[in-house]
Amino acid sequence: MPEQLSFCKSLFAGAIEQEIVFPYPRIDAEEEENLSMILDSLRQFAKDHVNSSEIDRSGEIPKEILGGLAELGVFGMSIPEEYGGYGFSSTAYNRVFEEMAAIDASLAVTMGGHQSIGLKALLLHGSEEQKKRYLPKLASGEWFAAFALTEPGAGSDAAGIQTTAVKDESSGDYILNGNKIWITNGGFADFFTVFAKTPMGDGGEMKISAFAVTRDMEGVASGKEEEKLGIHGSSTTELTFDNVRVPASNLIGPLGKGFKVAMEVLNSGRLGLAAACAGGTKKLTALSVDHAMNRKQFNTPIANFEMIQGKISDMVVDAFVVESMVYLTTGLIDRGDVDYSLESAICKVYGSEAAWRTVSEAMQIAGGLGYSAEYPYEQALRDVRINLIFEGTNEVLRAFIALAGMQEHGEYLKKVGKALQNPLADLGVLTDYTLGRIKSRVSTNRLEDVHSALSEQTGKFEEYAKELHVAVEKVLTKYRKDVIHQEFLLQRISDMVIDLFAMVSVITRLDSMLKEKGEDNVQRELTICQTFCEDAWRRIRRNSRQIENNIDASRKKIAESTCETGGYDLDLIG
Amino acid sequence: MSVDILVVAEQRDGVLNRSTLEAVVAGQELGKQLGKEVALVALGKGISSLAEELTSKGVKEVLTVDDDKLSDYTPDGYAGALQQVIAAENPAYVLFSHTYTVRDYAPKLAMKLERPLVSDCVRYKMDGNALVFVRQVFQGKIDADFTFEGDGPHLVSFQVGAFNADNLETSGAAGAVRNLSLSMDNVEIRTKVLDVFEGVKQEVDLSKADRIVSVGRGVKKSENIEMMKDLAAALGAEMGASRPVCDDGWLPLDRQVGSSGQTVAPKLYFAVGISGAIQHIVGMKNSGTIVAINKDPHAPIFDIADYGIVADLFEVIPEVISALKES
Amino acid sequence: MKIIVCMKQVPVQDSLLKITDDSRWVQEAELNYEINESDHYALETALLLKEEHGGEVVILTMGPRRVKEAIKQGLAKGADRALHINNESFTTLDIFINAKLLAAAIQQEEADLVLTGLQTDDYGFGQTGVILAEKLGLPHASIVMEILKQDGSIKVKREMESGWFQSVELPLPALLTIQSGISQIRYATIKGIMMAKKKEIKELSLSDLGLAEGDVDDSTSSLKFHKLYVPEKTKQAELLEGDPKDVAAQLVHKLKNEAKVF
Ligand SMILES: Cc1cc2nc3c(=O)[nH]c(=O)nc-3n(C[C@H](O)[C@H](O)[C@H](O)COP(=O)(O)OP(=O)(O)OC[C@H]3O[C@@H](n4cnc5c(N)ncnc54)[C@H](O)[C@@H]3O)c2cc1C
Ligand SMILES: Cc1cc2nc3c(=O)[nH]c(=O)nc-3n(C[C@H](O)[C@H](O)[C@H](O)COP(=O)(O)OP(=O)(O)OC[C@H]3O[C@@H](n4cnc5c(N)ncnc54)[C@H](O)[C@@H]3O)c2cc1C
Repeated sequence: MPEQLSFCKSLFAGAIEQEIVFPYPRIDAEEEENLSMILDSLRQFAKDHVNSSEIDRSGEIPKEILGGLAELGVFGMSIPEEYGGYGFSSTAYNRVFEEMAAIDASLAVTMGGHQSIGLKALLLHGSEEQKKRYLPKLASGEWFAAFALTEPGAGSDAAGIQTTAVKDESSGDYILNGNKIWITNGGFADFFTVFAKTPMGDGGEMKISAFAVTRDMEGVASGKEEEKLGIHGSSTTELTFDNVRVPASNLIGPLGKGFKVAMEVLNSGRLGLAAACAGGTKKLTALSVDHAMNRKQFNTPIANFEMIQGKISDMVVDAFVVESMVYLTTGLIDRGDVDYSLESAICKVYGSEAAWRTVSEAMQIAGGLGYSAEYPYEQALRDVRINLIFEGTNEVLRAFIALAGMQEHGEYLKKVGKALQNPLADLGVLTDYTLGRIKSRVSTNRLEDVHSALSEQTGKFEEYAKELHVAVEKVLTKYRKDVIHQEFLLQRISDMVIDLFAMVSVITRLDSMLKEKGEDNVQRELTICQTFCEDAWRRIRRNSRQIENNIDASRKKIAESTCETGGYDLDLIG
Repeated sequence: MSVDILVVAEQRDGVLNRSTLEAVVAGQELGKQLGKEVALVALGKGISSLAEELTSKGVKEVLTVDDDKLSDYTPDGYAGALQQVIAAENPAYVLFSHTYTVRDYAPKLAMKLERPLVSDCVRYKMDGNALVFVRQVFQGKIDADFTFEGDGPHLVSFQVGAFNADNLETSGAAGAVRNLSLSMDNVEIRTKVLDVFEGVKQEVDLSKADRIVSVGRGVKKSENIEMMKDLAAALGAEMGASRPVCDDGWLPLDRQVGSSGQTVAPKLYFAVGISGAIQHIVGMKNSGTIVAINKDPHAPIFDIADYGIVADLFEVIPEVISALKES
Repeated sequence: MKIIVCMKQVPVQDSLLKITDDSRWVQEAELNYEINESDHYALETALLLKEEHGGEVVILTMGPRRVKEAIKQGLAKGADRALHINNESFTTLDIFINAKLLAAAIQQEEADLVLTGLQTDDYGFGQTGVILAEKLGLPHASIVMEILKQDGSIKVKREMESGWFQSVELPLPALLTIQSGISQIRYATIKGIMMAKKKEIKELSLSDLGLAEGDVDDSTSSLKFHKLYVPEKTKQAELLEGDPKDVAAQLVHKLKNEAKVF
């Protein structure tokens, strides 16, 4: 497969691949019209049938709701028509997913476990026969799917799984043994994408492969439902595989390539999660605005107080940014020829943190009743929190964003280093080299032809894209391979990239809007864009400065000594 | 002999629909304005005693059409008969009370006569010499003025409750009964009436309730009904609802209050997120104390409420619940 | 059985209505539209009948271009095709003229049943369906709550006041005006939505209907519409003001001490 371009990875190399993100992707008019009807149906259905607080209290989603949604067809949106689904674009799929999250988080998680990740490996790598066998049932909602990767000893370090699938030479079947934990839909799914290690070749080296496992296979068992902080209506259980006989024809993708399959699934799955966060953020914003306008203190609606206005503004800006980056990235997926792994990780990290900020401020605006179980805020707070943890914790994703971005760049550095004897001295040459490799494309370190109303934001973006490149070179030059352990720096670099991608997402969205509608008609959006970019470049600048000038060593020391003493042992009194 | 203002009486099994008297009141008031007399027309089979009863209702004449084809109400029969009555009598105005039956045949009559009908008027007024009929549009949120040009017959139906039957002027001489013999031969009755019946008895008899909390479409979704149930519990009240809430299945049908639901008159009626459409109001307007909670200050429900709260019900109801619990 | 369903688009229920400067209509620029409530039920009724007895459901809509949205929704729910009279250039309040236009379209189809909602949520005349029946020479029943199809006829249950009903039998073809709540309305499914795009929407102009400009001239009508205005209040409720906690306390106090309902 030819190497695919990536907007964010190119930023590490100092190049702005404008063509990837401009103009802002649009879905075609017909799909948009369909989408708006589907959203109408879904909203109406929810109005009539979904009681989110009841789902939270009872800990389950009533069968009629899942049945009703199945009838609407939402469980097969992403599945191609030839397998009984509807072949939605990633944009359309995620937009519906966003709406489901605004209706109820448990519902969205169930749907995500099924469609964003549970059956995704089949879609991406399933054989024709496997697709024909499973997808129609999964599309109709007759069956639900789950994605089983995590194990007791392997969470963030997913490559460390212990579940094995050993070929029984006599039958050709794989014998599956092991435990999975935290599996969404684990309690009732009929289809599982299970990742297990298989011995490879003569040496017997264990490599990960993906398997299609069904509930009816002997030896598959679910544990009891986990009691969780939130998303109470979603099922999360342990899964055990006790000598489960899996036919060789159930291997998904090539033998030994399962880790790559898992990462690919998560790359796209994460985006759904970010879309869900956009939905949650928008819904909370509406609740907060309503409350702020109605609640009077000191004889005036609290919406008139600037500290409250600040919160509302932050919510709206966050919602706008998440929306902009999510649907820019789904657009990238839909064009099919770019690497979007960094972008989707960025959406997940930014989206989940934005949703968390928002729910916290929404609760604050609601005051005492925000804390009351009779109002939706505390449930929202409990429901939203998971997003920072699953489908890759935000820490692990930050490390991934920084390292995957630098990896490519680092490899060239190595090569060039060898060639030049005096490896990492002449940065100018290095930069030329990296830029040169993209020579077949027109790439620059400028954003061209952006609407003049955005010239300041565009300028800042270019300036700080350069800062990122410089920071990356500094870090790589200094630490080389050891950069992997410099997490303080990785965090800063990833935060810089996150802000840069967020900036370009709102800039390109605004650019398209300005060109289509004219400046007078997009004033609100323009103000949001300006406000965000102003904040973002200042954050990038701070992160950039702290690459060299920081207190990391002290923080490390404090953490290490506290780990030694086993906690806070510096009590002032007593 | 001809009539000036003709009011069409509505009866079932010889029993007068009380709203007919409202239309007579409208006719009398209009007659005073215009210096015209009012007559009633009743259709049916064997309605002589009804006709007799009508003579005391302050009209100059009671016209009757007594025919086999009118023994049951059918739109063909009524429109066919009235078309002939109107052609013969040439009244300036033909007035109806806007009942479900009138909804069913009056437009047909209008088409037959090629005379427009202003339906469901809430009042009339004089604008100089012009007689202006006022009807509501957008479900009572806006009023619209209409006038007629040229000679009659002009057809007008008045909303039930728009005029008060208690204001009926009956002091004058009793009216004379005049039987009209029309030829109904050419009137083909295509609908066959099979039965007229009362729907299944409601499981919940709201008419006996002392307190009712009624919810309307303002609750937004079925999920929010729960909060309203909490309010009802705190008040010791029964739950009621506007029609759309029952249509959508958020509450069972036997909770519906209004013209096609139950008629209630509790001591206390809470209307929460109900706009106050006429079909709802006729079912609860005789309640003792009416409390309306609606975020739209122009909602017609505030016209009949005793206490009104213009606010988001989701903000107010929880506070009302806790205030009730405290007291 | 071939069923024609007349559907209209009206401003969404919760719209904030502002009257135009000439007082003749409401400002449309900021309005969103939806299918008239009882028309939804009329469509649902038609679809159920078709599912039970086979046949075809044809949507008939009159209105400007925006009504395409409503048509597509109807097609997505399962109607087979649609007729659209674009009346942008001859919009009128005159019910006779509107019925004439609808009738002309219906006459081009040989329908067994014509369904309309019982009234619209905008003007609320509640006359179009019945007038249309008379124009088409069809028997009708209004405010219908139940339909039973028989051979060559239908039995329907009509709503009357206060929980009473009338059960009548009509020969086919016939026209029925449908009351809200006759059944639960379905949601457009993704499948239906995707299939809708393949269905025919036929545009009908005046001349397609065999009519001329003169046929839509409402200036000779004896009924004149003058203006719209926000109703003057007759009796106003005593409005309680303050923040929610405050009004709640006031209300409970008044119910206790003034109204003495406890
Ligand atoms: C409700 C729920 C549903 C889930 N659904 C599924 C599912 O359907 N399928 C599935 O396979 N899994 C699922 N999971 C598992 C989930 O993906 C993991 O919990 C997650 O990946 C974290 O793994 P862990 O819990 O083992 O935490 P750990 O990996 O132990 O992480 C603990 C902490 O250490 C941090 N950390 C770890 N490594 C690093 C590092 N290199 N640098 C910095 N910090 C680090 C983490 O960020 C975290 O803060 C689900 C989890 C939950 C709670
Ligand atoms: C023949 C016929 C028979 C009918 N019979 C009946 C009948 O028996 N009973 C009946 O009720 N109706 C009946 N109807 C229907 C009637 O015309 C109205 O459509 C119906 O009563 C409207 O119900 P509603 O007030 O709940 O909804 P709407 O008119 O939609 O009003 C909802 C109200 O809620 C308010 N609101 C919205 N959100 C909030 C909030 N957050 N806080 C506070 N307020 C809010 C809005 O301002 C609005 O005023 C009949 C209609 C016809 C044609």
